[in-house]
Amino acid sequence: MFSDNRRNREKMLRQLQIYSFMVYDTLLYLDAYPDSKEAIASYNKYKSLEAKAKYEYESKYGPICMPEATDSWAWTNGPWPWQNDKEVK
Amino acid sequence: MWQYEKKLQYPVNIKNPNPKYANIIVSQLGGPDGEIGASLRYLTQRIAMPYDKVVGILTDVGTEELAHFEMISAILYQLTRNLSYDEIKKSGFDTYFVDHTTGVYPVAASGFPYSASQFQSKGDVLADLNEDLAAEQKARTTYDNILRLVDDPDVCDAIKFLRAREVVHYQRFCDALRIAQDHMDSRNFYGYNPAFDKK
Repeated sequence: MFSDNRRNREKMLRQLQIYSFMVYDTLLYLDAYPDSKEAIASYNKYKSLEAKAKYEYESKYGPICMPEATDSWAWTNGPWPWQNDKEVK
Repeated sequence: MWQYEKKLQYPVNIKNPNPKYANIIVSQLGGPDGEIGASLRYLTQRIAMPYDKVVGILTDVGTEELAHFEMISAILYQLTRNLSYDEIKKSGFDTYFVDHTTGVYPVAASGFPYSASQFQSKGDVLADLNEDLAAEQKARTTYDNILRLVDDPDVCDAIKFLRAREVVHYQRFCDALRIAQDHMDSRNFYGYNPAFDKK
């Protein structure tokens, strides 16, 4: 139904969302339990996986976060997160 | 300050538009237990909160609620694409459509627009944290009710994620209440309000 490009983009985004979720859920836990070594270790692990997945996604499909210094402006290129109908088919 | 991340917290991919579902789910955008009220509740309450860890919990949960506001917006957008006049009239979406077309607007399912009168920032540690605990449970109930009324797996998938987050936030607010009470006088928690009274 969809092109390989769209499938691959969704796959990479999904992986990033999984790591970001682990980071954020552990962040909430650490707010209440800052002395948990286990939670700190989990936070560090997923933070680094998230950074790697984000870098890989952004170098292929454009910025998730405000871009670093850049030659061309891709921040406003769609699709925006709610526009799954406008994604490259 | 805040910075935007150009991604949803959890994917929303709805294949079949359904304006009747949009009519119901819009309540989690601007209804009494909706996501924008949740975000404003925590982000306002945190300012007067005297305990750093509790400020952290309010800040980070309040920020996540904004991501949920965006997910609900995505659900509404995808449920109301390519509608015919006939579908709009038959589904009961016409009463929303006449005011907002298919634009996303924070309103309760009953039609009442979002209002800050739906939450409190009491400036009292125990009163505010107890409101937050109740708010998470009420939002969880709303998601349970949505799951009772909706049978599209694409919609239910995103709603189930949001429901699970209400439960996690409730647990973090249980932690926040314990942390606050650890700072307070256990012989009389109500003797003074640490967000206002000097001891």
